[in-house]
Amino acid sequence: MLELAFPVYIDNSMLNIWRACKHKHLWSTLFSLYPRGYSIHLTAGGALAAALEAARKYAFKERVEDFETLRRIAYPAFLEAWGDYIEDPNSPKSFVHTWAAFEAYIKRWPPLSDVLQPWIRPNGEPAIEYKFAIPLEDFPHPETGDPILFVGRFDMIGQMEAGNKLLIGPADEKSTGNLAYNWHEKWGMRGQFIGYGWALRQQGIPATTAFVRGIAIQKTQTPLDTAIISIPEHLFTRWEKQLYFDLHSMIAAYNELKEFPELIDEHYPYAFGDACESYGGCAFLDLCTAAQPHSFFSNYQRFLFNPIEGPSQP
Amino acid sequence: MPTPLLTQDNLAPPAPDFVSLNTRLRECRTLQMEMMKTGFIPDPNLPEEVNAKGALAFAEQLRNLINEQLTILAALRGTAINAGPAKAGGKRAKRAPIDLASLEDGVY
Repeated sequence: MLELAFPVYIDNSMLNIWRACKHKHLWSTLFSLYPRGYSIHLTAGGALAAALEAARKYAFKERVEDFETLRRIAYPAFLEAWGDYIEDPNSPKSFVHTWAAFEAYIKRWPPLSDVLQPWIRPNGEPAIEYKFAIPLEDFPHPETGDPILFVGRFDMIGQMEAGNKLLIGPADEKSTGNLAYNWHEKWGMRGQFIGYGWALRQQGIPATTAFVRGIAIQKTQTPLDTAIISIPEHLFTRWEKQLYFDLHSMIAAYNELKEFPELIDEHYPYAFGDACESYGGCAFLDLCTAAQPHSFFSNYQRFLFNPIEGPSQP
Repeated sequence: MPTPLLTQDNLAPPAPDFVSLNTRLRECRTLQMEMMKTGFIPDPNLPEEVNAKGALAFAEQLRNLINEQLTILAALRGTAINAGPAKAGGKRAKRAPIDLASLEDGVY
């Protein structure tokens, strides 16, 4: 019988899952179940991020941004992040096309002359590949009593000059299959970026804006785009209030489950809705549609993604 | 002067195809991953200057491997671009022309 446990940290993915479907939270966050097999999307996105990180860090350290040098520097990081995954070479997100997307990005936005620059930390280093862990003192872990951590990781703290203002905030690359005409409009209420900005403000960094770079990995071209999202003060406040409300509910549901384990479905109801079919179908459909879900646990492995330390997949 | 005949000796070699380029890329990827994992391992039984040369040769091999892979990647990407985007929904099969002379009365 699998043991369940309340995680010591909460990240944006867990918040999304809790808000979309409580039963998915049970499988994914409390039981730490993860579908077997590799995800081409996570593999391609992770390799692209690793290559961009290596190129940026080298460019800012050596003050070099010529294309040929950066692609030689970035390639080992790309290869290592891709790992042993052998994909269908005809897939749009193949090794070849994902690497081509990196090259297209660097050609379009060379690191030193990119209008979006990394914010410079007090120690003089550019804030590339930024991780955070914010202790939430008012939310002790239900088992250990230590403050639960709100954690996350994003590609860099960005800054951009806009007239006489300097916009500062989280910057993240998002790889996708295509960039729709209204791609810019989907980020305004995206909790992920408001959460990242909130985390920066907890550390005294005056974040007001999020920068999202879209990279469409395709077979014959790489459409690129930038969304600049202004985050007003009242949205940070609203997001924070929602974070506390959700954490309170998560901990309460967990404590009630421990006291009344037979009421598992009541504490963690099923969405029976859009969450079940979004993104190609929920990874836990097998469990939620089975009369005896435990019979299908072998289709999954135990893995809890840690944005601070870990790989994005097992 | 008469035009020389084309023979096996003076025909340009065929360009590597998609399959062979992909195969070679995978070989290079595997080899590079191994080299990156193990690194250069000096032999304690050899003099220091020999190991130093070995380390330089190892680094050179790694650089050449990276260069080869980047060349193959550019070739494969070029192949994909030249092939063009897939038509949405796939190609519609052409209907075979109807031979009117072969039709019998009342039969289509």
